[in-house]
Amino acid sequence: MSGTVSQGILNDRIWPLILPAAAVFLALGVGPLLWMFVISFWRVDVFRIAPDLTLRNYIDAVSLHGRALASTMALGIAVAAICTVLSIAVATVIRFAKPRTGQILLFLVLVTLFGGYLTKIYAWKTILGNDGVINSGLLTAGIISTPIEQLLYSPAAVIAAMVGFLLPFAVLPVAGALRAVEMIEIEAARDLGTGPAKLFRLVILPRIRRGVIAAFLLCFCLAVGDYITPILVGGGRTALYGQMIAPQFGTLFNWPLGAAMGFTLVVAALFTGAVCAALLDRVLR
Amino acid sequence: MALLILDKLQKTYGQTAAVHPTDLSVDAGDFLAVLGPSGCGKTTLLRMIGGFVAPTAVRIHVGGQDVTGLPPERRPTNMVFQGYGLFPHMSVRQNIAYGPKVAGWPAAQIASAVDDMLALGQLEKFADRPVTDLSGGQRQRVALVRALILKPQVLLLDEPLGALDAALRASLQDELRQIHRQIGGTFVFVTHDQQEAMAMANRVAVMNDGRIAQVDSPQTIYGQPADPFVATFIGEAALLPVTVRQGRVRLPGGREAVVSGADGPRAVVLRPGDVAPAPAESPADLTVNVTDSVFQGGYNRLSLRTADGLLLRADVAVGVPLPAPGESIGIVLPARPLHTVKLPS
Ligand SMILES: Nc1ncnc2c1ncn2[C@@H]1O[C@H](COP(=O)(O)OP(=O)(O)O)[C@@H](O)[C@H]1O
Ligand SMILES: [Mg+2]
Repeated sequence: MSGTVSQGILNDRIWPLILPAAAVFLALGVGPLLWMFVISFWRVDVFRIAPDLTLRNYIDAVSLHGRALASTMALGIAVAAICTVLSIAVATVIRFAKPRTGQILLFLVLVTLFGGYLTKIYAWKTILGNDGVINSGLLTAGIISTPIEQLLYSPAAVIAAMVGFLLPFAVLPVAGALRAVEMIEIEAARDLGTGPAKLFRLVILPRIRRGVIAAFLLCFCLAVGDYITPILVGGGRTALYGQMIAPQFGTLFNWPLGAAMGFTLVVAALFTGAVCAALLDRVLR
Repeated sequence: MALLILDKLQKTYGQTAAVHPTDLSVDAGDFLAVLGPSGCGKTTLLRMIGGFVAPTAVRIHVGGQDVTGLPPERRPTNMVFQGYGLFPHMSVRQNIAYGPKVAGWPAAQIASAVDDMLALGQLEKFADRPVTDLSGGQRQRVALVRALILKPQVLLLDEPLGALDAALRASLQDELRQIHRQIGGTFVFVTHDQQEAMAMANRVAVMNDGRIAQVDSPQTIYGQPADPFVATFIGEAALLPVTVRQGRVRLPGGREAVVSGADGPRAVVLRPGDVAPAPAESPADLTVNVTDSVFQGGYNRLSLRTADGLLLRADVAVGVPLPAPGESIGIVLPARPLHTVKLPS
């Protein structure tokens, strides 16, 4: 039915309307990417990039930084998994709390999106740093005598900061999917013998499957591409792929390698994301 | 012994009572209709039996077991919801198999029970379609057999045909009655449609404003309504005010008629079939003015007005000479004892 409706509305004459937007998108979005793709096969002559057709950069991208790539994927999966689980909990409360409470909670979740990325990162520094809230609390209480430096500048700190930042992005698709689950479906499931625990597994999770996968992928993509958080909260101790790409376009001046690493990251993220999505799809069905 | 017993069942929301303290018992094999206007508390009553609304005060017994404190999943009842509540991510077959699967039946038993239910609901052709592809009537049948597959002691149905158009409703009424006859079982269904209640149920509970006004067979409800509300809500009725003395009333035409009910001011319930034009040369019980006459197919329906302004209707067989609108005629009431109710307030 929706097919016939959209066929009726989307006749050939409306296609020219998307031309301006398409032009902007192609020129500013796809164009530079294509240019980078071309550069990824070039080489660096003394302080100058020179046209070439070599796979050297891709080989380096994997062989020199393979470990970083793997730990970036692992970090992305960890962050996305934590965000997804938390978002299901938060969205469930939003959906099944009293309407007013649910609205307020959803509003609070949305408001944190306005907080700004750097603000949140620095907030984590003031929580986890040597004179941060936790350390000074523990010092004052006399539980420790010197600050625990590992609080900040550790993989756990990076994960915590990223989860804090990405959680709202995960809550939105899950809350949207949950909103579509009607009370009457849940009542029918109860009526047919489903206790509260099984209800989640048998009715709610399968119904919000797509929203959960969307939440996971959204968080995963944003996490693997992030290179600011690892620098600011992770210090030098976490070697993530994004951190290694950025200097190629700056201090290290190796655009071809940077471009190749960029595309390597995209391919690795697409592949890992697809595998995770397929797994989730099977598990949640 | 009654299968389902409601003992002082009651529900209040804040200050307002949705269901006043209500006693009701339903025998095994009954097809009970709970009939009443919108907002009278039918759904609330049914949902308390199913376990979806916590009653304010009471006991609910099903098959001798007190189920008052049990959640829906542990009650021996199943419900067909207003709006169906099918699982949109499952096929017809998966929807029907859901209950047995949760209950942990062996796979072979599930498969054969689902096949039986598909046949019962005439759904074989749609077995593997997603339920979102079905029409309203088909969804209704899926919801019905999905609830029936667990062989509930009592099947609860909330306005099961409410969302369907008239023709489909009539055919599903027949189907539902047939299914009840075929599998036995005890059905309690809620409706605001008196024709539907009369057509399907062997007992009807008429509800008004959170109270059950009368529980009886459809014939008794129609013939001997308990109060003015039941008399006028079920079918057409005119209420003719009279004064009862020693079980009798004097009709305006002079005849003394035997009536039911206590002495004092009462109202005689007159159905369209009870009122007939007086044959020529015989005394009339009442003189009325004909205001309209409408051909209804099998009969003519006359609209009549008494001198006091009371509107009556009379069904007159085709072939009997018809008075013209505007004419003043005499009418006779049945010779059998007339049924009275208390005067409407
Ligand atoms: N959750 C609720 N909160 C407050 N009032 C309610 C609630 N559910 C029903 N009511 C009220 O109880 C009365 C009976 O409702 P209901 O049982 O749905 O009637 P019916 O099914 O006969 O139309 C109505 O006046 C309705 O407004
Ligand atoms: Mg209702």
